[in-house]
Amino acid sequence: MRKTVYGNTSLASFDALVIGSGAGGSPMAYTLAKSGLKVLVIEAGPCHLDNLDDGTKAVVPRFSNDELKLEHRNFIETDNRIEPRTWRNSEADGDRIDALTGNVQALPKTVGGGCLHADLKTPRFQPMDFQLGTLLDPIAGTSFADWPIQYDELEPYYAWCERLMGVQGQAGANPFEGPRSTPFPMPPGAGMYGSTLVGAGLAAQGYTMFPYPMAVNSVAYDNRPPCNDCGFCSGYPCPTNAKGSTAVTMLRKALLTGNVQLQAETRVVRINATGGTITSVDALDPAGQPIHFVADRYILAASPIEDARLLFLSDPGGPGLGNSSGMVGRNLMFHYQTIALGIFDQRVHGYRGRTVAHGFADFRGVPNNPDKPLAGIVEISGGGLPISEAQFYTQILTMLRPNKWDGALFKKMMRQSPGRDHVMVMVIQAEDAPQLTNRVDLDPAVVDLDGLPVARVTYQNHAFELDAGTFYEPKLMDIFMAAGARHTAIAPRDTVPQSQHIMGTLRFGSAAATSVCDPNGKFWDFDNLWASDGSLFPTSSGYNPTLTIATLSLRVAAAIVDPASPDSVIDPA
Amino acid sequence: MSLTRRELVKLIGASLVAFKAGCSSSPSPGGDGVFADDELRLLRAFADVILPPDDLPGGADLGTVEYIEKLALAFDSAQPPIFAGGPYSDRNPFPDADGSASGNFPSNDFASFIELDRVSAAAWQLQVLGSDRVAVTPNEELYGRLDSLEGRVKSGLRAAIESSTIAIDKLSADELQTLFDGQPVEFKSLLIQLVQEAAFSAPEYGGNLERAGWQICNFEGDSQPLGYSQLVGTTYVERPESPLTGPNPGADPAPITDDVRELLSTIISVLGGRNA
Repeated sequence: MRKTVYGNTSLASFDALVIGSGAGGSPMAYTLAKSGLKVLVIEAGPCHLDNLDDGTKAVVPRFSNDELKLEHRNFIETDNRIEPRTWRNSEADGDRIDALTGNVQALPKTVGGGCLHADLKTPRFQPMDFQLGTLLDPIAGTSFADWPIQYDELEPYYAWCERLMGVQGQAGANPFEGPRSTPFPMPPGAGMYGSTLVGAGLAAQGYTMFPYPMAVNSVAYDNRPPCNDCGFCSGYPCPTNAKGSTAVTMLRKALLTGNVQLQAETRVVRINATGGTITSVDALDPAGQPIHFVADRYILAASPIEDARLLFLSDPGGPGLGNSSGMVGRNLMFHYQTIALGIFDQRVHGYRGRTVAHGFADFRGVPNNPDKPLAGIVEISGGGLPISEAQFYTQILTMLRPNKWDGALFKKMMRQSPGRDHVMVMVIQAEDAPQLTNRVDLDPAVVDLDGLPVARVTYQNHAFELDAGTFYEPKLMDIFMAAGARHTAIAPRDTVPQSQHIMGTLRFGSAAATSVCDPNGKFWDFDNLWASDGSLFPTSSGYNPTLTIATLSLRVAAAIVDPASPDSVIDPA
Repeated sequence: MSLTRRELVKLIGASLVAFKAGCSSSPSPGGDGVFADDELRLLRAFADVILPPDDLPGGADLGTVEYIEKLALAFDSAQPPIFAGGPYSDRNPFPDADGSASGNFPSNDFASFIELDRVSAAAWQLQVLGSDRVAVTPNEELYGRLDSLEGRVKSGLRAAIESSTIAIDKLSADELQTLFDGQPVEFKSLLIQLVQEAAFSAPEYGGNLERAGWQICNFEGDSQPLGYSQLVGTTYVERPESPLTGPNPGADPAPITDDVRELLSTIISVLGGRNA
């Protein structure tokens, strides 16, 4: 019988129940468990990390350099027909645009969550990112707000999180970064040939390239090996555990305390409340049978879309659990990605390496400055892998000649590989303006395999990010041409944004009327329910969110353990 | 006698076919009983239309049939071959102390497949077996029912066979191309997808015989546990034949030709980009 329960399987009563085991759930479990609380972690997906709870053995991932498994057969991501989501731009579109839109920001459902498939670029946010409600002039249609905690309050937790995950980087290399109390735990790893080429273009244009901060070992660290740059990184959980995902770092440590039980393949379907207190959760066990869990405290960390969905599922016919503010599900944000391609005459083999080794932040911008609109950090990466490459050429060939397949030309393109082996890519992870109308609710008709209504995403971009993207597009192409690329272009935008950086829906703030959670991540409406993932973000910043999600989770957990002095919970450096 | 790579692959393919035919009660030589003889012949022919043979194998010899049959029959196995195991295949060695390739190879974890959980099983049973053979098809009234993979491929092949006025075996290359181009878009798209997956996925899924698919695109394939860098002391040792931080050694095995460059320039212009 397959193992689905991990850690201390004899635990029967729990101080806390954490829903989700990713970047928001694992730091929470670690912090509570090291402080002596008994914790139950419930994860909807299976565990593909053998020995995760066995301290006498190394963790053996079932992940691998396998493009078909990870990118085309949805090994850890959700299936469109079994667990769909629906999409519309606005209520004017009716119930949804298409019954089967496709991948709508589906994050992995597996022990470790989205933190596993990420290539774990882990920059900190800039100090100004926490203050845009104050710094920005009013912009119609947006709901920018200050964070209820600021960079300087979060900084010790950033440092703690960087130590726990093992972040490589070079302090001071990003000229826009905030002050640091500690150096990066390890230096930058090996570079990539394509980054060197693009770096020359950046220098020619006066921009500052720096080694991308990443939770990837550049040296042996925390009993995990240095990365060997296998190339299967973005979208691929690590086969060697060189990536410091919160699963192989914090969740493993949590399980080894003896204070944690992890139940995988268990889907929470309802949170039950009486008055201002959560009393239990209903779930489906690995066989799909109903099961019931009770704890003293409950923490939502299932990612922003699923968090909101669960709160709506928990109050059928009502406004949604914890929604006295009317803000549950609202202010959904994705990073707005502007993607530039550069095709070089020579092979740049961008598929070798950590997907991204360098970036630059000159396009993060300055509030209210029309010459430097707010966008985001720029990742410099390589092209894709062969099956995706083949699909890319298929799109091109069928677009150009829809009624005649040119197999010889297709094969020639695969051999010459202009769309993979000759390509470098720059991606801006731009600030996405929060909007009350961008939201999650339940689709009125579409259900998952268990017959439960699925999440419906209602979302459209604001001129704030659209204009910033348009502003920086020619600058990206300037860089590629200065770097010696033969061709450059901006990739067309998809109907549904491809970003899997998902934020908002349970905004935290200083006032119960305008936010779902208080500054410590606790729901205003309940005395024993918290959120501890990206759902709390009031704004999206222009930097990759993973480190801040995990850091915020540590901060929320520390305040649960010691509300009067949360900083005392931080592990010493 | 020296064999070309293509001849070698064909020989190995024929040996595999003969072995399978000997082990199976299948009435269709060259297959696992999923397809009838004429379907099998047309499938191989269409696979070569999609990815034609030249000095390197085409779609047929790369294992398109084997790939499709392995997936179509996945749920005949206790452990359906949907997700190959990990973390390593046996194609790359562990590093030596100096960061170079050792002679010590891992066992092939890809060769055994991962047990499906309840949700994955439901998703793949629907994809492979179709709505008729699963208990529940969620949202059937909105999405419609789904035919099995076998049914989708077979019905497309049968329709093509029946639409041809010439026997499949007698069709010239041009006539095969015309026959393929005349099929419904949905069927062509499915077949193109399956041929490409067969050609360029890990060999454990049934295709990419002898890794010739990866050879076509000059791709090293899975690289673990050697990877492309090994930290030795404070230095990252790279693979001389496949460097990480510098250009490839030697001449480009397939430089971009003028016709491909012209195509690129057209696409870039359509996208509003720039050509040097």
